Amino acid sequence: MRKKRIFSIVFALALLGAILAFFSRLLMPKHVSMVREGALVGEYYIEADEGREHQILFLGDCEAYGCFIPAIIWEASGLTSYVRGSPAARVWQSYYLLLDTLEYEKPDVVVLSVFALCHGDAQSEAYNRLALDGMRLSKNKINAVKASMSEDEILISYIFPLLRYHSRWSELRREDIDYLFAREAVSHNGYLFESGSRAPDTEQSPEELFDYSLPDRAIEYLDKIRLCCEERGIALVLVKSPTQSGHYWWYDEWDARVREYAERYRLDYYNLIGSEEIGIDGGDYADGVHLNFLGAEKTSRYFGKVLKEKYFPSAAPHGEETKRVWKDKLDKYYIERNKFSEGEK
Amino acid sequence: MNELVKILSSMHPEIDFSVHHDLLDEGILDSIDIVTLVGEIDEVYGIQVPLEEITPENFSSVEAIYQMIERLRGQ
Amino acid sequence: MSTLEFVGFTAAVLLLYYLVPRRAQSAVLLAANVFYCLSAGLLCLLSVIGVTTAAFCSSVKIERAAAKEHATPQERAVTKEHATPQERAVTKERATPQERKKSRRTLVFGLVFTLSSLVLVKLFSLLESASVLFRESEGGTLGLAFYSLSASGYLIDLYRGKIRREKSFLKLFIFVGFFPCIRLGPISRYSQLSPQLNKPHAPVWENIVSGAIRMLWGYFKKLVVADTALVAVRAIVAEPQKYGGGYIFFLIILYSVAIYADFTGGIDIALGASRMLDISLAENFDRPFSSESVREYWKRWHITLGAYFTDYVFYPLSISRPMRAISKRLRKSKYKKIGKKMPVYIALVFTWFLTGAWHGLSPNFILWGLSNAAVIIAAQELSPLSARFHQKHPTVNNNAVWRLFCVVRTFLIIGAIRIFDLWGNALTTPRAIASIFFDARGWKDLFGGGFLSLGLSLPEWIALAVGVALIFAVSKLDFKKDGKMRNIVTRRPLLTMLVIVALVSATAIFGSYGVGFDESSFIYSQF
Repeated sequence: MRKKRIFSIVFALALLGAILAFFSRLLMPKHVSMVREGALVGEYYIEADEGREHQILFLGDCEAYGCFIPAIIWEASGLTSYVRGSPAARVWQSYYLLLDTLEYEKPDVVVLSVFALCHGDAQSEAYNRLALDGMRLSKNKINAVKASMSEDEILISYIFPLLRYHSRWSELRREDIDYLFAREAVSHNGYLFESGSRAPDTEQSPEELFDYSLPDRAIEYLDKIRLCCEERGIALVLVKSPTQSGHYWWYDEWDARVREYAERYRLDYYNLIGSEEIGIDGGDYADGVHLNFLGAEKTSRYFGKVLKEKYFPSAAPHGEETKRVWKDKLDKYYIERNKFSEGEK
Repeated sequence: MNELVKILSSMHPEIDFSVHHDLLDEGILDSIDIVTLVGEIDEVYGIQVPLEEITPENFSSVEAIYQMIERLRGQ
Repeated sequence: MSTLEFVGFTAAVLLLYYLVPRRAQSAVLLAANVFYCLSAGLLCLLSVIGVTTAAFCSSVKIERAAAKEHATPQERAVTKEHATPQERAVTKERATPQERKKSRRTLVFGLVFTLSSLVLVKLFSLLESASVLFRESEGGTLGLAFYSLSASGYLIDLYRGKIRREKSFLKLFIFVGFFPCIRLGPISRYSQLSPQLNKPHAPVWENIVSGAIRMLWGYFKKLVVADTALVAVRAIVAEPQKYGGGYIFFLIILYSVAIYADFTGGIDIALGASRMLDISLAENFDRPFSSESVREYWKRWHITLGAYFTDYVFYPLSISRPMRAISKRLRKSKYKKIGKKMPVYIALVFTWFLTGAWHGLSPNFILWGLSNAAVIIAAQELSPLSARFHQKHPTVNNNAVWRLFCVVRTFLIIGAIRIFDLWGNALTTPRAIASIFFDARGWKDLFGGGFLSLGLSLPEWIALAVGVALIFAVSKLDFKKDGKMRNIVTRRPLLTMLVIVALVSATAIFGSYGVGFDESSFIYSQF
């Protein structure tokens, strides 16, 4: 009898594990048709699992994944890159994404988009999910969750996402079943294609702030990113994307502080706002705040060249395999792009 | 004893009290019935049933109730 | 404590409980009680300690007179042989009137002390919203309404000589603060629970497994059925003018289902957890919705509360001297018939007034209590009519349709009274009930798909219906100890485990918990 009981317990645990794992997979949002930004963090592993490495890693929020197109950077300067970002990502989330990426490869250059430095408070649960759910379960993920959690969140719901997404059983869609086990990249090496067209509201002036300092917490994680790169001999580059608009204004005071920081630690800081070489105009904005693909292409072409001259002046040429892979990526990008050539000016 | 049966039957005419031996457990008598019964016992027999005698055992059947009445009469 | 926390906590307690030497098991329970109270805040622990202290100190004085008064002839005979001369002197006599008075006074003081914090809390809660759905349940007042009654019941039983005083403060604390009961009851009796707390417990497969299944079933009812139904309940309650007519009728049914699942679920969790510890707590429910009358319903719903108020308020009051005096005077006058009923009815109304007040001192709860009394009295007054009807048509009583009618009638009456819980303004309820009959638009809206505007989607309504059907099916089966179903389930390990896996999976997937839900708030723990 005892044997029967022990066997049944073991069997039950295994069965329960399988059922819960299956439903967890089924009920997690796939981010294919809706809120595609949620797919970004997780798609990295498609590349990583193929053993592909990248010379440049972009980190940050929408200013990273909406402004830098690895395919175009490749086209313009022959450099391989990946963008790991999520909407409104906080600096600590970028830090842990960096650590996570370093488990798979070591890029030569890390480019950190600095806009997120103006935030020191936790992000909301919804955005935390977009940033964290895609990470593979690891010590880095747990640390990232702990650093990101708001008051009413619990750690275990990130380790067992079923606890968070179980209510989706009444909202299942076709794609939840289609992408149950397989996944298809919605981004181009982390760049999320954006096709809208709306210029920023020039009437709206930036609001006056009470306090123009960058939060300590943000600087704390900036330090961590810097030290992490230093230890490994990775070059850290700070960049402010060329967007500038009412609500998301990059204040001069912030700019000054970042400049100060960069000088102190001898880092390169590129503020691309108003850059003539890039030449961003009203038609390059998708929604008055973020760039569309036209603006991103301009930015990528320029910035790719900048990085090449400064950091890869005499880089060895890539092998045949890499060239083939990236030709495919470029083709895939242009296929999506060509769907919108009517919108081009 | 007949008086007792009469009282009980007037409270619950549909029940044949001679066949039941678990009046409380079977749900035939409840607390309101017991209190009403205690009042009737007071009037008919002149006996005041004290609180500690209100137990499931004492009210489980007609016989049990009658035994309780007899016992209290003797004291 | 949230669901996961309580499950983890219970598992940890279980492990310790069966690993330590048997003598140390009480210590594990003590630690568990302390930890559980602390998880609700230091104030909660202090409150339980306070009530236990009040009971403990009072019990010392009460026992002295009670021992004398209630020593049985056997006890008096036995102690004679081994007793000292003083002891012999003590037990030979009955208590003097002074001692009896003193003992009664001590009882009153003891009751005041054990119940005072409960009364104060109820008074303070008048300041907040009196709707069951919007009150805070946690913190220092967790379970106060339940363990205060357990402690005061202990004192009364002691006074009546039914039990012996608990000499150890710690053991009394283990009884008063027994952690599975704190949140929702059941309201335990010392004579039933204490002996179990003090005996050694060996781990028995049947106990652990049937306890686990019972707990999981409770969580299923709570998370899948109750918390889901409550979403719609809250929507209707928030706007009774918008959701009138048919919605209110729907609310009666929905809220009955929700509170049934919530309360019986919570009790299943409590009884399941303690069964795993090899401790039997008193049942609190016995298929309440199969009742054919309101009177019967209150023997099947919240049984331990009814038993408390019956044994400690209703009986003593109805046979008390003032009541008997009233009755005698009325009987001598021309109101003979009323004279017989008066003590009963007065005691009934007062008991129900207190029961309502126990839920809350605000008018809606008092009215709730009095409504129950009114319905019971009305049924009693109508019983001669009903008896005549049944004499003329003797087969009706056993007719299935008639009995179904009685069941539905009882369900609706109780359900209508119950919605007093939902609105602090006592007038809203009668108005809402009236709208059932006069608001035609509400009925049209509801059936025209309006029920989809209550916060639940169609799949969720279907899941709710399936859950309710499951509850109904399970209630038809007999899970009593040594009953057929329990044997089938616990003697086949594989089947047992499959049931557990099914319950966990169903609750994890279909439960209304997590972001947006506050799963640890049971409705009844607000009392």
